[in-house]
Amino acid sequence: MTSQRIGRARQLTISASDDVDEFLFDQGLTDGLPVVPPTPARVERMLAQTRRDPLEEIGILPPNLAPLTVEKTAINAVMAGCKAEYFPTVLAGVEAIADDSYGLHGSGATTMGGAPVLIVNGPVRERIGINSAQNALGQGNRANATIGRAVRLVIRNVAGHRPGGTERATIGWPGKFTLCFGEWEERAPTWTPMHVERGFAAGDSVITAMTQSGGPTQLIDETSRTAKALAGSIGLKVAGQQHPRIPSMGELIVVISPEHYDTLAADGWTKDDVRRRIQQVAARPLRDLLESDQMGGFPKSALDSWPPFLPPLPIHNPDGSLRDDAMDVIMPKFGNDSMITIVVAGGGAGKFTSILDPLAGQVSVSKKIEDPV
Amino acid sequence: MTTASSALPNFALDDGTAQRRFPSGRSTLLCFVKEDCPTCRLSMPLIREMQDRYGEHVDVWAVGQDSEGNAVLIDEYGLSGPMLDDSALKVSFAYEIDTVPTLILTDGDGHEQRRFHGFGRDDFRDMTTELSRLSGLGVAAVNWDDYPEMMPGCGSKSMEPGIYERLKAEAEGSPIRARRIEVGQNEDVYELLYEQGVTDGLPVMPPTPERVVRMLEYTSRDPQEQIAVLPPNLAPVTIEKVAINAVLAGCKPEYFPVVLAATEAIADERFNVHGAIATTMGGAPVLIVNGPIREQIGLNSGQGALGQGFRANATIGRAVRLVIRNIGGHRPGGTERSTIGWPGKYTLCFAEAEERAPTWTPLHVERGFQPQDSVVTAVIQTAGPSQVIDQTSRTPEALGGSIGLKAAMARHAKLPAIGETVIIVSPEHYDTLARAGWTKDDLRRRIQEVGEKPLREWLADEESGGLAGATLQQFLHGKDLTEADLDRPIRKFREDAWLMIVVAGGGAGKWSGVMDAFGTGAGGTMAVSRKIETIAGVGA
Repeated sequence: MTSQRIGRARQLTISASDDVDEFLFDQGLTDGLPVVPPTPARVERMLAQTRRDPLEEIGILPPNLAPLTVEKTAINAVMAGCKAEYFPTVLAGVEAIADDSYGLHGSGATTMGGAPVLIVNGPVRERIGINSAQNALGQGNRANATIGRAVRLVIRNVAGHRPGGTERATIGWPGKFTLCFGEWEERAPTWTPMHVERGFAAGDSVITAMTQSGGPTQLIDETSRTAKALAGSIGLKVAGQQHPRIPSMGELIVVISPEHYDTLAADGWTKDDVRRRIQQVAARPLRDLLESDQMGGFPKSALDSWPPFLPPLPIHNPDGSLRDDAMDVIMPKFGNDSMITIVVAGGGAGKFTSILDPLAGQVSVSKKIEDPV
Repeated sequence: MTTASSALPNFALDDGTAQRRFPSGRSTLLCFVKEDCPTCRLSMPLIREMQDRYGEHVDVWAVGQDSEGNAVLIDEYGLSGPMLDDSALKVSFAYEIDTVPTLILTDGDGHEQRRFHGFGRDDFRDMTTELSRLSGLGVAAVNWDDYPEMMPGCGSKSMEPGIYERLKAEAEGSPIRARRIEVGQNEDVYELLYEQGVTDGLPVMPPTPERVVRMLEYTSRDPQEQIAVLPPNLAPVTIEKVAINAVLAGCKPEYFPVVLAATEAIADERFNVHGAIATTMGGAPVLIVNGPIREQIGLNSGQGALGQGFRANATIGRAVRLVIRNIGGHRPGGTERSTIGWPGKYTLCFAEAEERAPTWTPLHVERGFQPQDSVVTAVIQTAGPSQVIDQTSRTPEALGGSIGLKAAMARHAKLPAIGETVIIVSPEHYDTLARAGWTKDDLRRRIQEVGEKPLREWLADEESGGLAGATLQQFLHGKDLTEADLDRPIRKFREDAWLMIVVAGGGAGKWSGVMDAFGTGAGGTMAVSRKIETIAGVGA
């Protein structure tokens, strides 16, 4: 029975005197941390959680252009340490990063250090124990830890992205091991959950993959009592992402703690109100952003490719100097409010909001998670 | 060769028909052999000859290291004397046999009289002469010219990797005191370790006695030495317990000295690990390693230094986290109360790229160590790194300004930072700064210059949060806010020394990273550096 479902993977034979854990390190299959040996029985248990054919091809992943099958995903899910019931979520996660619009290759190959951040919505969170509360972005919860890692191991072992190879992160960040969490929808009842904002039904279980390049960095605001002031603080912090004087060309995730949600919701603010306030606070006249020999900032060379989200304007006077009216143009931090993803997560105590680093040019993808078998 | 040593260890081994007890009361020749060793095979006819000729008066015992091989040797060499079964290797281990064959002659009370290992024609000839003397029988009729002068022996089975460590763990005087957990044959050991709650959500390596013993061999210290008491459990942290957690984390044994030094650093009272972990801010130790150990054990200071993919970085940082979890007793939902958390709480350990920044003083030298010392520095951070992109600045003022603007965003754009902040400068950014002759201190000054503004600009107002209430009072010292106060310049970082600047990262990429501080000073934390033990002949 086992051999009927697991089809094609080459079986590795390990002698009794071999250390299987060391062997898997030696094979280069790990991210530097131990993995669970992917025995046929474990892979089979994983595959039993989906209706899909183990040999179904989910995508062709760069740079190896290797076909990613359901079975190969299961093998990596075992290695990552997943429980079998996490498998449909892992499958949807790899479908998201395998989507052409996601841009997996650029995400991994950039020196900025892109990595998929996975956010889960819907009933699956409770069913399999995904943490959206205290320490949601930290360690200690198996579902969060291993689902994010399974997607990373697919990128390493199937796609073939490895640090020093096609993966070229300059500094890197620990979110490159794993970063997956749930939105605490129930704790923010007046806000539209992320998956609903993205067109799914509230009862759907959905995973969203978004490339981020660093962080989070945490905003502390323990004193603001109005939505306007608190969202102002968040806006000032978001304005500092990537460079305080350079607009963001990518989507970014803002994780709002329950206590901060309470302050915002008490004044009747929605996610869109927070987005608008962030944009309002973070926008600056172009003259305040331009680089000089004393301060880095918006590159003068970039003036030649005037940001497409601004009204077209001549920039230079006939004598080559910069036109005042062009310098007075208010430059938003984001070309579009929808680039700001807002989710509520975190423990009930603590007045913090955490913000991740965007990566220019990447597009997030959401996929529905299969119902349990 | 005769020595007045104390008696060799007692033992009882089966020879297939009876138990043989040592010492036997008669002179005894113990011949340790294993079947797949050509030198043992070369010796077997001589051992048989000694058994046949002197066996009536002297106990001549072959001691074989695996039961199937023993049967083969008995059969092939027509052995009629005893072949003792030491397939459990306990006697070989207790006798510290590292080479086979090893022949040991003892008196009737078990005192060693003579010993040699490998094949030496003269050694064997002398041994038969001695047996002849002891038994009063004639010298064996051996045609010695048929034998080579010498042939080196083979490694004893008891010394094979994996086996040696198991034997050591099981032997009397084992370094291991920890309670053993039995794993049933049908149990999944990885699942069992999850169920025991000893993991951070990711799989761990099963801490078998062999692996723990191997880890302990990389320190000269007593496994039972208590190096700290960690809150909240106030459990004693012994070297052995640290070794168990290093195995769980996936460390290679040569990483162990770094793990030990890092554990001592976080257990230092000034570090205040309890306060850092218990805070809702999400404090976690970040480990920065300097000195020659980096290269010896392969710690990454280059491309992706703060990311995944490098076993030393990944597992050393994780080992310290598991010590905090499994010995200290801090667990999320328990005494660990991070509101949001961050992935650096799994592991965050990297090395400074000292060689890539030759004009800058490395972190450990700034902290009072010698350049050639290997040092680990532990510092509590609460999130990050968040990157600052600057691809166009060509002057140190402009680039230092960019880094300063980014550092000014830490915590809150309108709140001063409250503690030590790790700033990771990438090699390309280093180049821009160093080309103009800037040092780490010059960068610190520029960051401070950029982050300084009058008090009025820090104040919370209806537009945003900022200085207010108790945090504002710290600057007013209990007095009312006056117009004069409003113009007072306030710096982002109270001390220049709070800016912990290290160079790390790949050769390409114009970004640096800034981390989030916890709080330094009373009630807060303070970074602690420890020198890493280097063991001659081990590791490097």
